[in-house]
Amino acid sequence: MIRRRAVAASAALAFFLAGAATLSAQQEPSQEELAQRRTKKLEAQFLKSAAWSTDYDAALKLAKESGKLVFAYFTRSYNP
Amino acid sequence: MESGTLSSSEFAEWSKSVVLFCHVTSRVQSDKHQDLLTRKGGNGFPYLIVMDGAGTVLARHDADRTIAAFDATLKSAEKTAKSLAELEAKSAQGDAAAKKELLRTRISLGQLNFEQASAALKELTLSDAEKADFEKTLVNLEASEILNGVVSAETHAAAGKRLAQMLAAGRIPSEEQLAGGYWQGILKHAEKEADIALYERGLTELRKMFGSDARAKPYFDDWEKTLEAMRAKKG
Repeated sequence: MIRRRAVAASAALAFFLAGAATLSAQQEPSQEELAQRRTKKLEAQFLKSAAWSTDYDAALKLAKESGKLVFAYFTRSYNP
Repeated sequence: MESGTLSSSEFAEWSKSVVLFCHVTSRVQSDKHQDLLTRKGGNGFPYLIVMDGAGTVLARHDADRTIAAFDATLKSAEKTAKSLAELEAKSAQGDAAAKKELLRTRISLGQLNFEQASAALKELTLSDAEKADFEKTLVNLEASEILNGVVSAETHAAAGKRLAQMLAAGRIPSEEQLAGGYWQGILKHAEKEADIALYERGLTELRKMFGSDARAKPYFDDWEKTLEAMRAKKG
């Protein structure tokens, strides 16, 4: 229970700090810059270490066909 | 996590029992499904869930990011799928308790947005205690959706206004992760409207939550300066 509370408090602070950074940003990067960041993210090593799909529709189709569940990981590229 | 567990050979082996899907929120306008995080009930990164082939969220992973913990979440998702099917069958037969439990489960799994959950709630007959309990959940859901819509200075201003309306109506999120963003939005709105009392209220609430953490100090310093400037301008 104590560990769960500590994890929750830590997550709350992390979210707070991320939010503070986002909300204090005055200027959004250009679409070109955002696209470059996305491309770099998609080249990450972990995506090559297992059979990840980054296509939502294709992942659901595969799950239906295989009868498996989808393990989904949400991340971002617009911010480090 | 990306360079640790998710890159390990053990994870690659474990993942053969599931379909792996990675969603990247890029804010690139031409990218599909940019609102997927919100649609699946997420309000921050990283966010891990298990879904079925229809995209229905069956479990959120809030535990350690280890393979054993991932496996436990997967097993929980399998149980939830079974439980949802049973609740749906009972609800279809008019079981009032099952209808309430089904709605609770769907909201907790992020299967419904604020509008959908509010509409579904109107269909139920609830006691005062049940209404209060659902209301608490809906407040968190509403705040989450507003905060997830913040992607620029413009959307932040609009979100701040909506959050201030929530506050005026006494709707304050109880989830810690949301409350930080909620009160920051209130600060932005108060600054824009030169509302010193509202700014002080927001700052007080943020101090209660994060004031003792050294990592948050630079933000509090900035907000104090803003407050001083607002006071000086008013004279």
